[in-house]
Order: sequence, then C-alpha cells, then structure tokens
Amino acid sequence: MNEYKQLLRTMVLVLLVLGAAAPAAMGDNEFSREESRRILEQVDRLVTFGERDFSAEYTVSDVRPGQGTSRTKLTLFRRDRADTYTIIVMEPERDRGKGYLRIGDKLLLYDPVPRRFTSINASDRFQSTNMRNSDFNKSTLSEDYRITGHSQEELGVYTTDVYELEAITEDATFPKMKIWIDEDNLVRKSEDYSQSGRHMRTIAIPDYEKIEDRYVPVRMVIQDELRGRTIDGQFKHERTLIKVEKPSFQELPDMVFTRAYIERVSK
Amino acid sequence: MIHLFLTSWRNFLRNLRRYWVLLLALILVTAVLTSVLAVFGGMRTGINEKASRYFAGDLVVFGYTGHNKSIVEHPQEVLEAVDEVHEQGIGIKAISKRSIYYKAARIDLFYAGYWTRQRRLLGAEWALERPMLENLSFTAGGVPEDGDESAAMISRTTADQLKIEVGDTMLVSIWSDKERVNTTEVVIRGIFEEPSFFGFATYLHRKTLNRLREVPEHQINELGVYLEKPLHQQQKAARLLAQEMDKRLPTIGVLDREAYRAAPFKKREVREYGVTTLSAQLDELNDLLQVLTIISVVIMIMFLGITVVGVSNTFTMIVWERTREIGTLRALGLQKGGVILSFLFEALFLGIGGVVFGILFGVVILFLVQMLVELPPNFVSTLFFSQGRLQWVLAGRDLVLIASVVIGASILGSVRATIRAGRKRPVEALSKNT
Repeated sequence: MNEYKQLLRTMVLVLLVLGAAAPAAMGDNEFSREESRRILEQVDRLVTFGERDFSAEYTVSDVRPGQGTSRTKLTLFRRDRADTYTIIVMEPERDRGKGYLRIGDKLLLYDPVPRRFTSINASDRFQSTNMRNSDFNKSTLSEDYRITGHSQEELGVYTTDVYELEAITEDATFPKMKIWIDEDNLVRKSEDYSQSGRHMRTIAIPDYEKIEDRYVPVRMVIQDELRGRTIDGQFKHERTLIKVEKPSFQELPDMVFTRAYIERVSK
Repeated sequence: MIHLFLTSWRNFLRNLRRYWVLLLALILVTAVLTSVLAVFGGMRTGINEKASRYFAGDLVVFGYTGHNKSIVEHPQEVLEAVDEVHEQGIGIKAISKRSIYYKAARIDLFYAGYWTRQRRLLGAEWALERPMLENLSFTAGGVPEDGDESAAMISRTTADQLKIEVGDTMLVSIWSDKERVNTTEVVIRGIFEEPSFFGFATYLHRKTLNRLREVPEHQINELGVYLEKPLHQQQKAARLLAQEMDKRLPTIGVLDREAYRAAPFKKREVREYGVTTLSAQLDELNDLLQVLTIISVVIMIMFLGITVVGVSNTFTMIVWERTREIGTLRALGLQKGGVILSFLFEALFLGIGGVVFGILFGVVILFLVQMLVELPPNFVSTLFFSQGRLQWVLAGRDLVLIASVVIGASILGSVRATIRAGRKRPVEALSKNT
C-alpha cells in the first residue's frame, strides 16, 4: 500500500513537473556573485559526496514514442574528491562491457570489440539517451553558473524557489538553466536552455534517498523538448527514466578508476 | 610524295567497298570512345562542381594566425587580386564568401520531434553564389531570395529524415564557437537531391550561421572562386591568385595537400593568407577522379588492342586481294617503300574517316540521350546525371586523344600487311591468280 502511495505521488509530481508546469515568471531579483555561489553551494553540497566514494546500479530506460523502449543497465563508481567516475555497461547485450572513465576534464569511452579507448565529450548524449555524460558528474552548479533571476512556485507538494542560471564557465553543458529547489535545498526540477533561449531538456527528480547526511537522486525523468512523435494527434516527447538502486558510500579501491580496471571487467 | 598521297587517296576511294566493314567498325569504336570519355568528362565535371559547392569554390582563400580557424579579414584586397587574375585570362563564374561550421557530431536539426545530424553547415550569400547553387538538383523549392537570412536549403535525405517540406520551420542546434549550445530557427526554402556525402550539409545565410556560431555577423572564414574551366585552370589560377595576393597581403602562397593540413596550426605574427585548390582539400575526390581516369585509360587500351587486331586481319585480306595490283604498280616502277607508304596512307584515310564520322555519331547519340532521357532524382541519376539529364563534356584534349588512338590503331594494324605487300616481287605478284 505504501509503495502504491509512493508511486502515485511520484506520478503526480512528474506530470506536474513535465506536463503543464508553466514557466516561472522571470524575477527581477539580482544576486551578487557571492550570494549566487552561497545558494548554489548549498544545493551542490547535499548531492556531492566529498570524502566518500559512491557506487550504484542505474537502470536507464529510453522511451521513444512510436519507436519502442530501450533499457541500459550500468554500474557507476564515483569519487568526487578526485573528480572521477567509472561506468561499466551491463545491458543491453550488444553494449555489455563498454566502459566510461572520467578523469578530471577528460572522458574516455572503452569499446570492448576493438578494445580501444576513445576520447568523447562530456556534453554528448549518454548511449543515445536524453542523459548527457556530464549528468554523472558531481553537481557543480556553484562553479559553473550564476543566478540571474528568482521567483517562488508551488511544484506539486513542494514549495520551491525557482532560480534562473547563466553559465559562467565553458564547462557547463547548457548555457542557461532554471532550477526548482525545495525547502530541503534539493533540486526537484530543472530546465536546460540553449544560448538563444530555446528550451532543450527538462529533468524531474521526484525521489531522493538520504544516506547519512547526503542525498542520492534515485528516480529521475529526463524529457527531451525537441525530440518526440505525434501520436493520435498528440505530441509525445522522448523521455529517459532513470532508476538508481543499491546506492552505497562504501570505499572503493583506487584500481576502479583506471583504464586497466575497465579492460579487465570488460573481458 | 604528294603524287603518292593523291594516288593513295584515289586507291582508297576505289577500294571503299573493301574497306566499308572496317570503316564501320572504326566509326563504332570511335563513337563508343567518344561517348565513354564524354560521360566520364561529365562525371568529373559534375563531381568537381559538387565538391566546389561544398568547399566554397575551386580555389579557396584562407587566412590563418595559427589558431586553427580561418578568417578572411581583408576580403576587399582578395577580391582585387581575383579581379587581376580574371584580367589575365582566367574565366571566373562566381565568388563566395563563406562562414563554415564543421563539427560533425555537434550539428543537430530538429523538426516536429524528428531529428538528424549533419556534417557541415555552410553559410553562403545567396546572391553571390546563386549561379552555382542553382545547379543543385532541386526536388522542391530553390535558391532563397537574395538576402533572406531566415532561409535554409537541405538535401532530400535530410528532409526525409525530418519529414520536413519547403516552407516548414526547422530548428538548428550547434555548439557555438564559445563552446555552448546555441539554436536558431530557419525556414526551408530549397530541398535538393544529393545522396552522396555532399548531401550531409545544410546551407544557411552567412549572417545567420555567424549569429548561431556567436561570431561577428560579417565574418568570412573562406573566400572562394568558382572557375569557368576548373579542371584545366585550377593550378594556374591558384598560382596567379597567390601572386596577386602577395602584392597586397602577407601570404603563404599556394597550399598543397600537406601544407593545407598544417597551415591552420602554424603560429604566425600576423594573419597570413593562402590559396588552396579543390584537389588539395579533398583526398577522396582525387581518388575518385583517378579511378575514372584509370577506367578511361583501360577502356582506351582495350579498344586499341581490339582495333589493331581487327585492322591487321582486314588489311592482310585486302593486301592479299590486291596482290596483282601491287605487282602492276611495282612493274611500273613503284619502289618497295612506295608500296608500303601507299598502304599506310590508305590506313590513315581509313582512320581519319572513322574518327570524323565516329565522333559525329557519338555526339549525336549523346545529344539524343540528353534530350530524350530524363530520370527522376535518385542515387544513380544524381551521381551520373545533372538535374535528371545526362551530363557530358567533350574536351579538346579528349578529341585529340580519340583521334590519336583510332588513327594510330588503324596505321599500327596495317603495318604488318603493308610490309608484306612491299616485300612482294612484281613477277610473283603478277602471277597470282585471285
């Protein structure tokens, strides 16, 4: 019964977030660089795992209206203090053994067929889904963006602060963003925009799991605002559903964040 | 000699009934050679035309400082140099002032939920490049109005992937030169058939592409020149242009393939300008053109062999049939060399007849195919045809080549038989009963 309630709550929130949520009115508020940084640092801090290692199993379901659904299962190992992560793709069969290794600004993709690493871009799509490779990075909103506007909005059961952000570094995947922050300083929704202001992507994060004093987003929905199909007269966006299981802060051996590890587990 | 020449001409005409099968064969061989070379010439021209549109012209002027990206900061000086080159007898069809965006995995096009990727965005000025862009095989619409900054042209393949038609608004998304996502909306004004890799490019107005790239609106990355005779004058025109530019700007001359690749990365004190040809820009094009040349040469050699054998056999028969005539001529005082020369002259007349009538026949066939056959745009038709019609080009060089091959084969084929004819003793020849 509890599960049913939770599912219902999630669905209502997702619908509210992705469907009809009207863009929040642009605030005239001005924020100093320090104030921006302070607010965004609070948001980053809750979902960044500092001195701890993080690992989890991700199920990424890509729903393409009229074209079917594809599912990718992967294991993520992340070490935020070293700005690195390793991803091993488990499913589907054809991609099994593929690995991603991020070390600082460098991101490598390992293909077990030619047994070769190639350099890829953090802002590219992950496995052709609506996720970007950078979505696996630790949250660095305070380093990459400044706040340019603020308003308040009811988002389902949450009262949220809506911040309009503008990139201040070239590392930001999108030059403009809007984020909806709840009372606990958790991002519940975000919208990504191009430089010219075109809405590109919406992310909803209905569920977090609290582990110790940190939060792990365990359910996310990413909606592509540009890709989709008109079915029965209604436009349906492509969506990527992400489910995170077995999150853990258990210490990981250094070996996990090396090329050799990916090559070994991909055999 | 003149007397022998005229006698041979008279003999040739009198023996025409013996030669007519061979003459017909030579006419057919010449017609086939003419058609093959003309079609290959058309293909070479067509591929060159497509590549030149894709790469901004047959000659392209780049300006480098060592930061990879080319910018032409002094277009007026370059245009003056182009005018000087034109004054020196190089025919120029059009010029281009392009903005180029070439990041294959960073260009996405969207329409009504559909999306596709492109290799290249080409920022052109419709008015400047209209003469070249109008040669695209349009299946819908055409070249946009001069100055229409909201217009775009895409290939049929791209249009099919996006399910988009002329008049629809498409969204273009790229990673701008400032390394961030930027988008713009454009209206499709032309859809052209181009299934080869030249079709994975979208044409926008230069100013629109520059805004999308977040660079100054008037920036020119490449200034191109379309030549009247690109295949024959490319190298000469490039040399002349580099010389003329050198009088006005800091230059690095004509860039060959290696220099073209290295030039963007070499650090320079000031912006230096270089000229490159189409062939230096595209290895694959050179390979394709080389394959076409090799095929033409193989066909030539094959036909040469067949013709030599055919002429040799026929001439042996003709000499055998005219043995008594040879005997009479020798008895009247014609020397051995005179007999040989006389038959060689006849072979020459045969060859010339074959060339003249064969080329005429070939050209008529080409004209008829061009006039009567019109194919709808598809992979084959766009590769070999231009706007659905057979495209053929018969250069003077090709005509000389055909004439040399056919006349040469005719003379070469007759050599063995004529030497034999020359060796015949008059008594033996006259005693021959035929």
